Amino acid sequence: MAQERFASHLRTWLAPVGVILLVGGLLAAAVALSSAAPIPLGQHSPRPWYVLAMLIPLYAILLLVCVYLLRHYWFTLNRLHGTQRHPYLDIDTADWPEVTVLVPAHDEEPVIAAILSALLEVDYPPGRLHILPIDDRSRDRTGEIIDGFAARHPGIVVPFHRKKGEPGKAAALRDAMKLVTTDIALVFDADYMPGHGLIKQLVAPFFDPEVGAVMGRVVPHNVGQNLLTRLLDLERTGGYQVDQQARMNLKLVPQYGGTVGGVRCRALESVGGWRVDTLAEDTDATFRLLRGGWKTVYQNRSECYEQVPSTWPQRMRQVRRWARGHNEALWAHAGHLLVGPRTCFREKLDGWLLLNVYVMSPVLLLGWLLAMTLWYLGETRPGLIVILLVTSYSALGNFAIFFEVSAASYLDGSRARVRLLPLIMLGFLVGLFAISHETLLQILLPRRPGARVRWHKTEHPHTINHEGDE
Amino acid sequence: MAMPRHLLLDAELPWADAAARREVLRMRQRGWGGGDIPAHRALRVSPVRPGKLVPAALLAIALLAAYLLLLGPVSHLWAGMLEFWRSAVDLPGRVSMVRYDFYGLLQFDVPSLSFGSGLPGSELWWGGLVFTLLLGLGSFAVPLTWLPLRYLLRLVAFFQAGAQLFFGLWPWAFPYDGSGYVHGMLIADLMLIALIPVLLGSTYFVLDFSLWRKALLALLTMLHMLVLVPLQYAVHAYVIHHLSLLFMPLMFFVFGLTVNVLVFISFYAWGVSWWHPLRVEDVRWARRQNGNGNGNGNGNDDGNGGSRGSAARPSLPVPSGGGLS
Repeated sequence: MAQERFASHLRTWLAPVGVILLVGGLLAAAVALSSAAPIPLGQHSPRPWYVLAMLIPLYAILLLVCVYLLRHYWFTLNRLHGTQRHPYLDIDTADWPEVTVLVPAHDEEPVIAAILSALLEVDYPPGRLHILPIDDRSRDRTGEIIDGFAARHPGIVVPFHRKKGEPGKAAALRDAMKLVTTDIALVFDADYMPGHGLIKQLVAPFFDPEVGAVMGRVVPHNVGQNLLTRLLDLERTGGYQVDQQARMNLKLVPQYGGTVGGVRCRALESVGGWRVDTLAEDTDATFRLLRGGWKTVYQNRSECYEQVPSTWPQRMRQVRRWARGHNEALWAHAGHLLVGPRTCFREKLDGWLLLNVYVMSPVLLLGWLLAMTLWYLGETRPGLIVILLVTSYSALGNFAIFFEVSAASYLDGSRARVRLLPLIMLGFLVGLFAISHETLLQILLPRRPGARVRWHKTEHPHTINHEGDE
Repeated sequence: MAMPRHLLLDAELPWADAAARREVLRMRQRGWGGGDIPAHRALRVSPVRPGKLVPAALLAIALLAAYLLLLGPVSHLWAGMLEFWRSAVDLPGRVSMVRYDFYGLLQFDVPSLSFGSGLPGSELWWGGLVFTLLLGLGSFAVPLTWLPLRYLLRLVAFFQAGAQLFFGLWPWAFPYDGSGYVHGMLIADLMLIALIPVLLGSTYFVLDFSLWRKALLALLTMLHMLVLVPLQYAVHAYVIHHLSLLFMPLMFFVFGLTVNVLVFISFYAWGVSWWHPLRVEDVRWARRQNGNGNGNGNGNDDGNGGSRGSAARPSLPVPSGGGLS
């Protein structure tokens, strides 16, 4: 009993104590390394103003990077050892409500049949599941395949052919929502493969009247295709298995990711519905629901399988789209979030940090530029540079530190794959430049209010085998 | 008898009676055929056992203390290696020791490799510029499928371009010399190696690996760095001596501490990929339920072993997780 009680205390306190120790360690390292810095030749005079003008922002950037590092460290310890929240996991028998599954599909001929077949086989009471595939201005056989399913399953598969209108998933969802008559709408991308019990798992949280959105775990199924897919699998693992679940555990802000999840239509309507002038309608919806007092729930047990981008240009476009959309959400919500009456302090803090993750890339680049300039000026502080290197790599490897990714792989039981961890640096490098480029473009060439968004769809060139891929 | 922590979902079981909770949890994990249902990967947590955590913390402290006590021999090892390579590559100069006092708490020597390092001449500067342009423009010829390589080349070109600019405009203002640079980096790496037990202690030792694996990973990483660092900076000295200070910034920013950090992460990733009991914990537990002893056979018993009197029909559940790999 005593041992169990002690272990329970450990679970509660390990994460905060670990973070405090890490902060202490970083400070000690900074002091030690700075004191051991080589003295540049002939430099003993007081620092000129321009050096101070660079040192101050550099320290500020370092502080920000450390905040993100500690956040991820806390998340990881919590996920590894803390009490896990899965409050809706055991709901299995219930009076299941009617639900509509939306599948936006733009030129998805290779994959659309697989998801529709999988959806028709899920465990959900007959007559209560409506499948609404959206043929969004497709130029291939997507519409034809959808019609074939509708003909074979009348009343269950109800196609929506969207022949014109604004581009983008958000616009397609907004138009399709007019056909939704149920209070709960789930959204899947066309390349996703839902498991047999997924719909019930995703609907269960909506029995809680406070829940406005639900998000499940995305697991890549084309992992073995090449190095990029393996690296993306590591990133996804860290992001969902640790990051999202820890935010769920700590009652922070789990993010609705726009797919493998769903929304309560009434909640979404009450905060303005799908916005079509953004490239990240999911992040936007997360924050509007949060500000409206609705909770977003993450279900780690609800897995769905997707194709991750398999070429670097695809990945680059995807990251740039996310960065632009996320930054738009930052401009739209950061201020309101901090003063909003319906969010508690920890939600404000975590939400604010979440909104700023993409801005950190150009900030980090600026930090490196400042560090380099100061080094040329003889302001040698190896302690600073070491910490900047370590923390920037670890905190921003696609926003999941290497500890987070390795802990996630450890929990997943993926042993060999985690050996690729140092190569995440490659993805980090591409992401860093892609995000910085996009953010700078946004600052220099802001989109006019109301202007149409340019939507770059992620290609899914590989046909999914209905039988074997899941 | 305690149960594996990763099978508990305390938040869902609010009863105060621990015995009742344990019984409910036991029933909950019991399968239709009497075997045990393994925890899905989504629900797993790493067990927290004071019996493992305390020795791991002590191990980190002991490794750090041992390293600090051995700083003298380490410095002499480095001095010997630097001297060997200096004479092997015919680098003019000598290796000496400089004594440091760390706030009166610790005194240690650090090798100092003195060698000639001058400012770049006109030919070298133009050569450097061609090298930079080749890297920068050459990166555009790299196919898009190798996109990270493009960025790596541009990053190298960027740092070298900075050096070209500086040495083109203010060569007299460059504040470092080769010997001081190498000496400073050796100090930084001495400190970095001291951080290894601390970093592993806060990220690796908290995982459910056996104590000897934790010690092995820390020792391997530290030993690797101890051998790598003098070799690394002997190369830096060679490059700076022959190609002038023009290439020192590139050495520092790209091939300096960045390499050491990546080496650490590589060892860490390798260590995480080692065998750990978490995946097979369910199976072990099932075996214990069925009266087959602790079932792990590796000496890593967590103290949760033992068998239940009401042993069910033997069955061996397959651990879940990993799924698609």
